[in-house]
Amino acid sequence: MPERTAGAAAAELHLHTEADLIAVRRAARRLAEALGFPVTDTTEIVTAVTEIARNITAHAGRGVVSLAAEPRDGRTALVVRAVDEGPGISDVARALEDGYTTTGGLGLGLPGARRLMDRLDIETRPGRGTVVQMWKWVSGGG
Amino acid sequence: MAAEQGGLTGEFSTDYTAALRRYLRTGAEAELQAAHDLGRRALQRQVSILEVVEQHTRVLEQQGADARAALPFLLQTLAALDVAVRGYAEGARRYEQQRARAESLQDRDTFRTALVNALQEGFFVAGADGTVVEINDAFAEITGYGPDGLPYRWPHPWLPDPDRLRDRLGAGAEAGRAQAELQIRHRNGHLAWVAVSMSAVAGDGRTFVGTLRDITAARKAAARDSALMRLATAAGVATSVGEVLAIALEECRTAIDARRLVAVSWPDGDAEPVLQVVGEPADRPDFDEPLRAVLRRARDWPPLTVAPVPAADDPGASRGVVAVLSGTPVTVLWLEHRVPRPVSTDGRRLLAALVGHLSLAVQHVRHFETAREASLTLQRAMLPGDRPPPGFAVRYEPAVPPLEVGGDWYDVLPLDDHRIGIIVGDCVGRGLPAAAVMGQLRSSARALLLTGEEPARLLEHLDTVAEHIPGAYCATVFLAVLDCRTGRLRYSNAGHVPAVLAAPGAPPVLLDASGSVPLGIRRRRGRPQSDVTLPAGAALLAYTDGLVERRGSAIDDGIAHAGRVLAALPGAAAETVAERVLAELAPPGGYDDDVAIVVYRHGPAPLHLDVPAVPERLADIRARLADWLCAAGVDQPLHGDVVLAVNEAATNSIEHAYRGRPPGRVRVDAEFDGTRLCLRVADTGAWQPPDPAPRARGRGLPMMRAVSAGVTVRSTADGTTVEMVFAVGAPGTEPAADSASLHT
Repeated sequence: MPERTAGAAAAELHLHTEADLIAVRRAARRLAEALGFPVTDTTEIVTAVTEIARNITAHAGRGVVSLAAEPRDGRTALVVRAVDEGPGISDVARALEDGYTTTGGLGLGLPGARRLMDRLDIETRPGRGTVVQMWKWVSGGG
Repeated sequence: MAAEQGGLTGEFSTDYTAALRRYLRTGAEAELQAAHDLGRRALQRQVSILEVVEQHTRVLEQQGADARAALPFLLQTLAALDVAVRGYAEGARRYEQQRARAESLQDRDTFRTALVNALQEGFFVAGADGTVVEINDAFAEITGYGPDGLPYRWPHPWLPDPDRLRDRLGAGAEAGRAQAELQIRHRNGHLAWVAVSMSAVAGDGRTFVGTLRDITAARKAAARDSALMRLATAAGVATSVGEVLAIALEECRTAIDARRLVAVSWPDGDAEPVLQVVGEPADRPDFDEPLRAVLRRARDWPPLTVAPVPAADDPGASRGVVAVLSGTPVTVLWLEHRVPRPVSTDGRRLLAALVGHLSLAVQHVRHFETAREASLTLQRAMLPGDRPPPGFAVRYEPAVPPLEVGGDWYDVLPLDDHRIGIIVGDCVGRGLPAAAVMGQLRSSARALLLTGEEPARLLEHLDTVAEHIPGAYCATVFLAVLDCRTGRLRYSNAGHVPAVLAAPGAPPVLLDASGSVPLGIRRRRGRPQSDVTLPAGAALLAYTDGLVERRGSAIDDGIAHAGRVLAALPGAAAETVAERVLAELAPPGGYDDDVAIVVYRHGPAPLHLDVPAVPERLADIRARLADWLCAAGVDQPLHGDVVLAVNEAATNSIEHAYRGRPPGRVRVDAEFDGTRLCLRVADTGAWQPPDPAPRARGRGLPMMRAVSAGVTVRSTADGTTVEMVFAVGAPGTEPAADSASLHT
């Protein structure tokens, strides 16, 4: 069990099934609370992580999500990395548009996650998998 | 209270209540996951946020739960709706931007269309496969193919030669730009020239835009200019009006399918016009009256007028074109089409320009022709034109073509009935300047010769004359007077090459006894002269140094060669000798200096025949006489007349002289002094008067009288002698032509 101390609540989780989603949510909530995010921010973080994780299970089948507190632009941020070796995204710009979905869902996933977090980067190559990195800065220093 | 809302909302609130209660009991992440899903469902089913909050609050009141504990559940449910709300604003903004861009694009589109259509050049858009997908109004005008026919697939209907175009543009198309000039066929059939330019749309590689410009007029103008250039160039070297007209016809053949060009002029006022025809048919054209009327009227038209003449049966077509050249005298051109056809504006323009150039060319050539005629006339006036007296042959070869005269000359002038003057001269220089001097010296020498003075004195007079003729200084002259009866040649030589005399059976000798200085040079004493008697049958050659002088060999060798040729032709007529001398002494490349020669074959010794007066000997008499006449240089028809006349006289002697007695002899004597031929037929019998009953042969005396210059019959008891005299070759006259020659 990861420790409940700020800076030490990092986690790395493997995703296989829907059940793993809950574990990811729990880890994200713990890290967010450890870093002192208020409840609305925590909700947003967990929601974003869930969306990204769901993309992995829906498109790639399996992947790895890692959570940590890392400096970004000189400030501490909660950083989420989601890596899969799935089919990749062929049109990233379009994927970041609302409503674009290839699975018949709401199409909220990626653009929604981007709105919920402060930054979202995607590295993807068709056939070579995807790496999504997103973070939210801790407010008031930390 | 949950049952108050029906349908979906009811179902949603039921599920929400159940999940919230579970969360309040367990606080499990799984329930928060469920809240997340509820939120997504609410968004999907368009459940209002207000209702979610209301339901949440109701459950809390029912459960008596703490709002803060339940907060995470509410927040998680609303998260999806929250994302959607934020997205809405962004989307609306983005939509607005796109709308603005679309409107701006539409404005630009309108602008583009207006711009493209305002272009004077044809504009087109085509794909890489050659299909034309867009054109403007100008394109439709130029090609005749409008926007209704779009798209125009390859090969385009306006291209008469699509493969050529593909070849020429293909390479350029690869590179992204291409230009070409080519012919297209307008929809209505006529051909036009266009300049095409196209380039690939950047970044695309599959689309091309291009322009089309009609350059037909420019090309026609260029073709007109080159036709005129060709005409001017060719006409510049033409040396006759016929050549100029032929060149003009060639240009008109292509331009207006002309087959014949006739130049009509009226040099004698209103008399019949003079026609010059080039082309086919080349015989004198038979103009019908309407055309003749037009040509006559055309004399009064302003110069350079060009007017088609309509065909009789087709007013839209013309049978040809009448044009008036500028310059005098008025010349009207008739250009006949091969078949009647309309004359286009371009055709008329070309003709108008051609006629202008043609007028100039014709004028120039006419001047040239006039000048050349004048030159030839003058030159011929300087040449001796008369036939030389019998026994003489002359040749004259000026060195500088196309001149017909040079600095050398000869003259053979009968001075009276037995003397002939012979001059051969050579002025300094060549060509026309020398000829001008020659002409003056020649006239003076002739005049002097006719005074009958001695050769030496004549040359002295000529010296004085030469002092007053510029350029006559140092001319050389050989001057001789020949007495035909005695054969005496008296000669004087002013610096000239010595004449050559070849007597039969003797080596050739040079007549160099009386040489002196050329004309005009100061002498201390009078000029010398010498005599030589020409033996019968001798040949005399007087000449100029062009015959014998050769670079690299001594002139004496040339003179000796000439002497050898002379000596190798004993008995040959003077003409033959002249031919052979020229031929044998000619250098390989021909003579390069003026050459003048005079050859004289002195008459043969008198003929004396003495044969028995029997008919069998008549043929013999005729043959011997004929030989002798040939040697004397007596030509037909006189030769034949003499033989016939002598035959008559001899026959009379044979038939009548010794009738009733044993046959005696008949004598035939002939003498020739160069101008008079005397023949004598004599017998020693008694000549009976002619039988009163005329036989078939009995025309004798009248015939003899007819062909000769005079017949004398002396009949005595000792015999009869018939003497006949013939005048031979008085310059320019043919004695046989005056009398009734039996041979004509």
